[in-house]
Amino acid sequence: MKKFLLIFFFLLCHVFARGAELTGKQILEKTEDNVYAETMVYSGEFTINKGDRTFVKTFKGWSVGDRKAFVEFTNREDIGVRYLKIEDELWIAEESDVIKISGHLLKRSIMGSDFSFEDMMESNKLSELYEVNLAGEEEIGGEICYMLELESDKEDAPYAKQKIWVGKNDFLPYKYEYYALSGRLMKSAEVLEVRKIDNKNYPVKVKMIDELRKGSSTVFELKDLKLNVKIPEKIFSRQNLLE
Amino acid sequence: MRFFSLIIIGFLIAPFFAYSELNTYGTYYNNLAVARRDGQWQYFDLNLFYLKMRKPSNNDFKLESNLSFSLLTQPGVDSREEFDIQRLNFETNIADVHLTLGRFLPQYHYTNFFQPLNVFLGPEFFRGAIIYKGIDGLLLRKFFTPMTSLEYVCSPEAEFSSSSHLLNLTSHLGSFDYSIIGLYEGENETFMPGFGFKGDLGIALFNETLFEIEESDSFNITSSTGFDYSFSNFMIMFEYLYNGGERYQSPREGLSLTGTHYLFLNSFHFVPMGRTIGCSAVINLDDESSLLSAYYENEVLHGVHFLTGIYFPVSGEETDEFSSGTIGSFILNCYLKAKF
Repeated sequence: MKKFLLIFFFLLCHVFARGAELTGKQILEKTEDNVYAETMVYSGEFTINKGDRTFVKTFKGWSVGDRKAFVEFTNREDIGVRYLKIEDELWIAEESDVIKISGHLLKRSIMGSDFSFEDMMESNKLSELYEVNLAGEEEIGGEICYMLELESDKEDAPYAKQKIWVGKNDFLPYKYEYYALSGRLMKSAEVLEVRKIDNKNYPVKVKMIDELRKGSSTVFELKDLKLNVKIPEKIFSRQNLLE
Repeated sequence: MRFFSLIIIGFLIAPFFAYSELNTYGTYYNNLAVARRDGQWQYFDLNLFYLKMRKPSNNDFKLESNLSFSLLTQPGVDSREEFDIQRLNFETNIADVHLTLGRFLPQYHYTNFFQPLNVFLGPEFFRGAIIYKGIDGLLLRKFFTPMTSLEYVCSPEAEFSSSSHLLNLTSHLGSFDYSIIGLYEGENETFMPGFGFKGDLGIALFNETLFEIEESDSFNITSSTGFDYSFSNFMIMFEYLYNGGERYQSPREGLSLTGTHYLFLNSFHFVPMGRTIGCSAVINLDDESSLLSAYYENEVLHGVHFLTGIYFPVSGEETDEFSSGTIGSFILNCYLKAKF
């Protein structure tokens, strides 16, 4: 009887173990849940490297999930530049003028960085936009990662193909690669720092490299980050853009 | 004159009300254009200086002073030297209502090239550069929802019945921003209702339309409409202007908008390191004169942008709007913008 129970227990464990094997989509969903915060208040900086020149731009920001965001640049050259994002729409204010960013302007880089408006605008979850395939495992910066391959033919997908490396232990993204439809690598991003905030690990420093531009990269760093704090609704308004 | 003196005093003392921290920052523009006309070289140099003093705003209080002025120098046969103040105002919030008092530039910006609502501002064109001279008056703005505001602009005259008034309702519906405006010019007893919108339906669509209704029952329409579309790092833009009113005519040479139908085409390519290369064409469909331009823009230093472009007429008789007889055989335009 004892032997039977042992065999039964072993089989049960094996079944559960097989059930615990996650699909690519499940891994991506888990990662998205992991880095999702109901609200965020932050300050940070862009360090933009263009060949031998380096520009630093500082900012303050507020966001509600991936639906609303307001960013105000605080470095001297860009005081008064503000961005408002509501769902998949974006406005920019500069020198008391508000412009709706649409069409071609979404392709442009943000403040000369390697991030485009489209990179920052993504409202839809990647798991909803892309077909996800678990392509294997690789070590990134000492971290064992799942390698996910994402493909989409949807128009609102900013890139035709992406690769994402997700930590096997913490389900945090550690590396991204963005490809054109032709298969050409356009950009890559690497998480440089993960910080524990409110008992939650959060990527706070990301380096984006434009693979089509030699010597062009941008480090996006959140210096001060508060999660799940109350934000007045007035922040996400045209009024705030004009203030 | 007294009103203007009060504005100057207000501008000068405003920073003292912002006892604590005060930000001062500004922008300097320089536009140098060289033209070859009637076998002679001509050039003009336009300097624009913009200074803003601002008390860092919080949710309850805001105080800002703005000053911008221009100095235009054009030596030679048609020599002139002009100094203009575009802006001299202060802005504040009173009980959630925004107030601007002084000389200021109301901002309306749906179309890219032709902006019919500029009739209110009276832009002046100088060979590739545009100067907007602000209006003297006040602006009140109240938000009713996060995206919906009502704006009132008054440009008073000594005789109040000659004053100009503007009401502007701005809101957002679907993926479109839109405005409905009503402008009344007391001096000409002209009522100008209008609307404008910009939205995204895969391609960006935009329009601005202004109707002119005069006492004599004459009725004119000025409307500009277009789209832009991007693919890869390229962008193309198309804009058409129906210039039915006579008001949107500049007294300056080049882009005097003497015709009724215009086309504007623009395309540019975003190249590495944040640089832009583009070419554009303006076509007067009435006299079939046209002006082509090629330009290049780059951020040469942190906060310093440099743009250079060459404009040259490609068709039209000697007296047509964009002919070589009117604007010269070409214009080389250099533009520098530095923030400090």
